[in-house]
Amino acid sequence: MTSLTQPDVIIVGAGPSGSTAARVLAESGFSVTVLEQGTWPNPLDFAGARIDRDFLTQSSWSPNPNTRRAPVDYPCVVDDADIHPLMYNGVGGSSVMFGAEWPRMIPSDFNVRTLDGVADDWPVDYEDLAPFYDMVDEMIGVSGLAGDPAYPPHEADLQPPLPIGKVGRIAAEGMNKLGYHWWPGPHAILTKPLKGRGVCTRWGVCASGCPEDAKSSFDLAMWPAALAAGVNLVTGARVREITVNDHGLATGVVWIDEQRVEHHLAAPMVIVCANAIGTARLLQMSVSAQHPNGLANSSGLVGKRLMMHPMISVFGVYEENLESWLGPNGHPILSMQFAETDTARGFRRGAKWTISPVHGPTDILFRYNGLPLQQRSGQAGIDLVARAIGRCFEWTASVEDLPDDQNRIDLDTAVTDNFGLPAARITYRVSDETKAALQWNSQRLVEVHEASGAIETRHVDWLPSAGWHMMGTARCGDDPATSVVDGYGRSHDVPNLFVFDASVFVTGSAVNPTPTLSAFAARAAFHLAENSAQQPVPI
Amino acid sequence: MLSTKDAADEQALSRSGLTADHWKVIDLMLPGSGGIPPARHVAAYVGVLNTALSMCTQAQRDSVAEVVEYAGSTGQLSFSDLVAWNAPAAEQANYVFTSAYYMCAEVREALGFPGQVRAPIKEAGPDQQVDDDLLEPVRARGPIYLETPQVNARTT
Repeated sequence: MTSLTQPDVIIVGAGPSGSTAARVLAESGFSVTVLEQGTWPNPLDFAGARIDRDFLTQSSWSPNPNTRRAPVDYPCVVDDADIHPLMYNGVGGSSVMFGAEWPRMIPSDFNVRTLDGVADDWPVDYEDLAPFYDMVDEMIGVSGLAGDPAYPPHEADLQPPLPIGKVGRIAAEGMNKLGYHWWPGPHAILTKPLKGRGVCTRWGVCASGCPEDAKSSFDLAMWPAALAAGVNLVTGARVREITVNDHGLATGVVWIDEQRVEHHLAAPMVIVCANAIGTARLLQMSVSAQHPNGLANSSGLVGKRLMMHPMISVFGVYEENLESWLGPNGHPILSMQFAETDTARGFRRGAKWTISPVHGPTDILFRYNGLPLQQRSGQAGIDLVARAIGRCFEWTASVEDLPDDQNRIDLDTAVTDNFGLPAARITYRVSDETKAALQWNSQRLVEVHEASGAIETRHVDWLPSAGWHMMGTARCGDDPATSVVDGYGRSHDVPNLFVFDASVFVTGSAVNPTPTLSAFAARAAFHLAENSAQQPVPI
Repeated sequence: MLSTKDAADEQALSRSGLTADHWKVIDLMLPGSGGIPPARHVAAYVGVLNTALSMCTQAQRDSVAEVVEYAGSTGQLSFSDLVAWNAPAAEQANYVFTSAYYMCAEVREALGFPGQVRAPIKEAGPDQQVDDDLLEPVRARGPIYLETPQVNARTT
């Protein structure tokens, strides 16, 4: 590994926020180096269209780093975690394994303290992010139907929506009977060709690798433009420390290459985009005499207030053939009917509801895991599959998780990664309030299945395998005593250090975080570019 | 007593590294039902199972080995005995044997399940699409989002 040329900006992490920021800054004239611990995903490795997908998704293509145990992964200690983190470490980040559901937060998500008297307000509003939601949509390619009454009108240039399928139509009919909101789900999936990428062909395997390159994972959808703008992407580069000088400014990073050789790369600015676990871990590893409790941590909040999205599903079986092997896998339709607070329900905040087709025999049998083995194996198991195959889908409620200082990331020096760096210890408990929300929503999901004509419903508890969405471990805010970074991701303590990923989230909403973290990163990167003349730098 | 065909199958299985004890477990877990054939009669099953065993996790392989060994040590094999003996191993082995079974084209065909296949969106008919009639009640109710005070007077 030869020495790297000093850039204007170092970005740690090549996922959605890192690639978005890299592209914006490079197109604004900055020299940008991105250090990514993983490598480029190889489509030949994708489990998606392979017949042995059921095995790959439980081993080398598992979203759980503790199961996958790839050399680039770092262990997460989950002994005290009700939900286990899921992620992909590589170019494109976890978007390589996401379902491409692409909902925005709703306006009230940014004002939870004002509206509900709990948690905090964000230092930005929906209106602040709205133009950047639109911008990212256009950058990566998003399909959907404009006019969703769950949101203020917006101007995004959406591609036509994906088919909602027979599952979507029967689910919508049930929602209409009950007078509930629903809408075709917006997707980071192409329905028209874009920049050489293919169009969705409904394989339904979005989360395990799209065979058509139709899914707008950020390796495909954002990185080509970032590289064309001149970003220097270094893969196999694990950052172990952000260095600072006596003036309290970041001076660069120490990183380890694949041959385990350490390097120091200096830069005037450092942006961390390593997800809410990786970012907190890196800041906590960056200890010094000036920062004995980790970098940017005078508030004591680095690593704290981890939020995830507890979820519960209700699986429904129907008489008619719904061809439920067809994609998209993620939310052919969604509902924000119960996304806002109604304290009469016994809990604050709400949930996003989505439907998902349940594809194959193994997927169906998973939904019957609560039965004794003899009732779901042998002839009984075959009969369950024969009855439900193609005739089933599920409703899922993804519940907003309020911030709690006890839910956190710490370093665990007893467990290390392949480079001897400490593992991330996850402490996470689902609160009683969230349990009440899960229970309430699961009852409503049974009702909508029944309104659609389901002949059988079953509750499916996803925990602990639900940690797709990790947020809040370096929250933003205006007050340095109660937040880690400001509304543009700039550290209060180290003014040339930034965090642009979902670590900055003040509250977690009930929706998938990638659209919002990408919009936050775009907005923050533009702000950084426009105000660079006032930016304190060490060099 | 095995039929002549089953005995021949078992010989073939033996050549593939599977034993009569494997068959004992497979016959319990995948006996077929109605028009869905038993694993023993699915020509591709042995090959697919061997592929599965090469791809699954070590823990799954270990569980399969343990369950097969247990099957060989007991007389009549039943789910209740298997679960009472080692429920986690029984679960893992069941996953491996069963997933391999449903990977077989003959089984999928019998189920009427095409598997994950290419279905271009341009071929999706009206029964797959959203339309204005379906959306009319949603639109008629109008906006449902909560108008919020713009707490932060920021501009971008």
